[in-house]
Amino acid sequence: MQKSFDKKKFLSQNSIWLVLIVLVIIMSIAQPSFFSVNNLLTLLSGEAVKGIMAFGVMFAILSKGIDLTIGASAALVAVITASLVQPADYANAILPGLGTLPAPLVFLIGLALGAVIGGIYGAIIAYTKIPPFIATLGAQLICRASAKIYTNRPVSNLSDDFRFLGSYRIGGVFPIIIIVFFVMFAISAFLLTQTRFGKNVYAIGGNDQAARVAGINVEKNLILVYIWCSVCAAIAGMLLAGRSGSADPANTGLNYELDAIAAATVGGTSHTGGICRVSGVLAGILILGVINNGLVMLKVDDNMTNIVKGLIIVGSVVLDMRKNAKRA
Amino acid sequence: MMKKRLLAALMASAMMAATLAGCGNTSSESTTPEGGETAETGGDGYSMTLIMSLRDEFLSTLEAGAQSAAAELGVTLSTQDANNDASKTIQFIESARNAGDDAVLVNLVDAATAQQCIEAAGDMQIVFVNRVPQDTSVLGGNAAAVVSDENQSGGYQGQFLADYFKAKGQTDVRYLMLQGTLGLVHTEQRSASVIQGMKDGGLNPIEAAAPLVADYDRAVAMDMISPLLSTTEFDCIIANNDAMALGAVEAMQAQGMDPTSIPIVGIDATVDGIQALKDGTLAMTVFQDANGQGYGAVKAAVNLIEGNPINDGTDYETDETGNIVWVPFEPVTPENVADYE
Amino acid sequence: MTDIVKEFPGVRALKGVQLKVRPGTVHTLMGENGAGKSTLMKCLIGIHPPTSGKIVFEGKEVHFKNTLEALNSGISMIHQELSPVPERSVCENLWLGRAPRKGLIVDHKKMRQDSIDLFQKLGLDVDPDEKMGNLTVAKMQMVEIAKAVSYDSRIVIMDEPTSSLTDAEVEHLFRIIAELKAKNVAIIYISHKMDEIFRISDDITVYRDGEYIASDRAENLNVDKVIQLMVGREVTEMFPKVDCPIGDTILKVENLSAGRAVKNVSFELHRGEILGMAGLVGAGRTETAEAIFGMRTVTGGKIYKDGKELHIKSPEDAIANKIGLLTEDRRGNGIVGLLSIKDNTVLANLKKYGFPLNHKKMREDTEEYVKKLNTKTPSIDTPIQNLSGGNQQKVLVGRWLLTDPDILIVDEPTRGIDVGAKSEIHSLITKLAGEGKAIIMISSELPEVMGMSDRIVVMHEGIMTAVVDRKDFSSELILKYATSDVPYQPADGKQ
Repeated sequence: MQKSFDKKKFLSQNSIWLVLIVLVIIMSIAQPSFFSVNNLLTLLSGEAVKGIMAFGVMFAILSKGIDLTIGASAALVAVITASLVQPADYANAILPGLGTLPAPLVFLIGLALGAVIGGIYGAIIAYTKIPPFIATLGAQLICRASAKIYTNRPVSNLSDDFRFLGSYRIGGVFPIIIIVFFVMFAISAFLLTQTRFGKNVYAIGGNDQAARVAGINVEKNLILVYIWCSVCAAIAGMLLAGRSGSADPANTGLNYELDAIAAATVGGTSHTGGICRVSGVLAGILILGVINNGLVMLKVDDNMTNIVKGLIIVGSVVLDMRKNAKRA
Repeated sequence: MMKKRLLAALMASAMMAATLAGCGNTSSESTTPEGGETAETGGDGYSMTLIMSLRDEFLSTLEAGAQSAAAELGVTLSTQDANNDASKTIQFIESARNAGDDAVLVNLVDAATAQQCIEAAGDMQIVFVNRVPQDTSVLGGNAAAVVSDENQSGGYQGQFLADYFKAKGQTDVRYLMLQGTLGLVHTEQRSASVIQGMKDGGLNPIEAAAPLVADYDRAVAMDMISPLLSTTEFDCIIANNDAMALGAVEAMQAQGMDPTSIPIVGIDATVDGIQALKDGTLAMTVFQDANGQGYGAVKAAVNLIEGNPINDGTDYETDETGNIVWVPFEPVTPENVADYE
Repeated sequence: MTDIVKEFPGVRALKGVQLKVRPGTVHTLMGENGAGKSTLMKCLIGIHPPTSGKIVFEGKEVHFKNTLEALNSGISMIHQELSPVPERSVCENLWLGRAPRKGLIVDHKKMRQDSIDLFQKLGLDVDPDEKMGNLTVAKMQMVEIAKAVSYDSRIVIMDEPTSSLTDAEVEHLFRIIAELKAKNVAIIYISHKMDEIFRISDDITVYRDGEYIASDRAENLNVDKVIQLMVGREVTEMFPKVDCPIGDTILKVENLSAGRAVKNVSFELHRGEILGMAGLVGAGRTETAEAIFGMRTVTGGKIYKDGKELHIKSPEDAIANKIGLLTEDRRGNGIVGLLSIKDNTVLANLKKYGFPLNHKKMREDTEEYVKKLNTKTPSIDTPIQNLSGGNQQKVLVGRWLLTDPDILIVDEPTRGIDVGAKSEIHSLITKLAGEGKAIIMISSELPEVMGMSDRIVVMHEGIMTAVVDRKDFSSELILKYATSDVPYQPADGKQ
């Protein structure tokens, strides 16, 4: 009795992985080259950037919030950092005469910039109590416009060192961006399950009043949530610039926040707060990746791909809500 | 219970996807290249993907041209839309390579990213279509471009305006300019060459206001130009494409101004543009041969695969390196508009 | 209702229970929390359709799929936790979802008049235009009752209707119940208050752990018998007060004010002491506790602990100063429903588990307190929302004990809790005092606060009206002060 119950629970908690496996099997049968090493690497490296954003935004959703800024803050960080790694003699340089700064320094600048951006709108959310949807929508517009003010044209010709994390392939085959992705997964999982911060965010999302009474500094933790979101976005932005070799103020990261939110949602993060499993989010990212990549491999029209994605996102939330309603 | 339903739902959508894929897939599987390199096949059985930056009317026409060439040459062609995302373009190229395509036709989102696209393509052939790489030295080997010479398009606009104002005996011409997305090579070339064309025709072009960046978008152009119409003095409106020119027309009409009173010039000769030309609201446009670009791109890709000169089998010329095929522009005025309907 | 079985994932909440209700009577359901009373009622009104079993209503077998069906057939329920729409008027809440209409337009005039008529009939003094959120809990409850009456129900279920009512309001409720009875309406009444139950019940049915135990006419039963049936053993002592030595002053509150809710409250608390706080609804007791605990802005006065002045701005500060508060609103600001017993237990004490968190220690501590407090749960990983109210309360008590507070404020610690758990919590509080901790206990139940406390602070509308020593305790005296408007004047040198 006890045993079979656990099995049931295990299945219900991991059903999303089952879905992923079934999808992979279907795709592999329909198009055998889908399941090639090369293509799986392509799939992972393609989802890495959005995935990292999803690892950020899941904290916001868990805290009963949302972060719509991340695509735009990724662009802002991307154009600024990219402009610091252009060669001095490049005619189209944004900051001519500055030359190429060392990549590790530029990465630190990018992370700090992300933290500051997130800290600002996080503080606004925490102290004014305005809905995160509105606060981050505003921040999105400001970040995107700031990126366009900073430069009105794509920033390209970036140093190889800066592009290393985004585009280097170990042995010419294995994209290092995949390693970055899994490192970010590990850090997120650690934050969520092994630190006080993670436990606090669960409690705040589940019942912020109770969390406050239990001595949790709700404001501080909310600010940290949005700093984390924004740092993830900054990393994503720099990887995007590194991967494509150019940072475009208008188009870099455009609508990426929606893909990230979709991945977190498909992965079972509840928008009513308090429920999130990082392994589920990983599966959510991979499911959307399999659909994105698999349908391209199958030469499906891109509009159809989006219809399938839309159905899966809505469907997963319907199922999730029913699951949660049943438990309550 | 719940599990079964979840599975069913996902199975269903996955199945749907697989079914939808069926049509494109069966042919591509049966035609996966085996002896693809042998020139004798004459293009039969190649598989290609066209990756466009962001689908619009022009690129849809380009796609149609590519499809007709593909049908003619027995090439299996599918299309993906990168939604203006440079990193997605690369993603699509990698997927196409993994799917065993012979070539990709890439309409660049960002001209600076051509090198990354070539790297992603690996041993596939890659043809840049419509937008030329910022650094053309990356071309050669398995990479080529099929584009139109954008200096030509602006040049035709400038020449038309020169003829128009000279006939009126006017040399000082104040212009409003609607520019496309900055940072794109063709935006800069169109903007610079129209001014040059006016000067070459003996005019003295004067900025009535700083150029407006309307991102090739009709609505954006309309919004941006509206406040200037009643506050500035201008003799003509120059737009980097028809959509923005039509935005200017709309803006003038909205304010009760007559768009036929001054010359408004565009580029692209879209369906809407041609209609406006017939109505007289647009003075001239330049026909960019979208169909020809798409057609030429598929031809070029097959030529690359088979080791022929890239313009083999077409009337188009190449540049001196032999890596770029020029698909010519043609000026369209009320006199010859009937040829472009 | 016969042989009702209800299974939830992993739990068999009802194991084939029975209930037979006669029209025109008050039928009381009794049992400890988790006995299945509320679940049974939810089966009846269609919130949780039963897994098996039969429900026969007025001679016909019924299967309600939702509450609306039940309502339309004449069964309504007043829930323990009210769920009004706080931003809308009383009137709109009353006719929610069934507003009288003229064509497509809501007939506001009729709606208002109907409300007034209804309130008059029931003798209620409620303004139909007032915002629901502005009413006291007691008034909201009355509106809910009026709502049930307005449906012309044949059966009205009342789940702990008196838990937040004052004595006068309880009397009023009983009059309404009597009227309903006279109209041949059956009342199913769920309560833990013995005196009430024996006053109004015609029949009593007892459940324990999801099983049917017994059913009988009220006149054939007495308090001891019922308790014995409920607990399955005899509860000897309800208020196990043990005299223990009172130590030094640990907390001194001087002229504490917090907005309009708390005005110039002063008292001292000693180690080993249980200080009761009594008063009617709206007396400002909860608000005083919140002010001490940093949940409410202090607008005047000083708080000293061990002679040092405290500046508490948040619960975080309060906990750092070893003060704990078990809040009144268990669901609102006590439990985090989705999280497990374990996560709820360690929530106020996460600092203790280091970086990275020591999960093993967290489990050990939780297991310890689950055992110590006799919490009934399948596992410490069960979401706390799946537990009964009494067990949830035990987890929260465990949470505060884990922080090892010097001062523990408990606000209505036994509200809505069954007799067994109540007695356990009482002995626990007494034991804590015996260990030298200082306790402030807020309770609206006079027998409880008098049974447990060493002294009682009495409040009325934000002012402190008396401090009564144990030797002087009497219901009459405390009630007198609870309605007095005269602020407490300490005798010289005493306070």
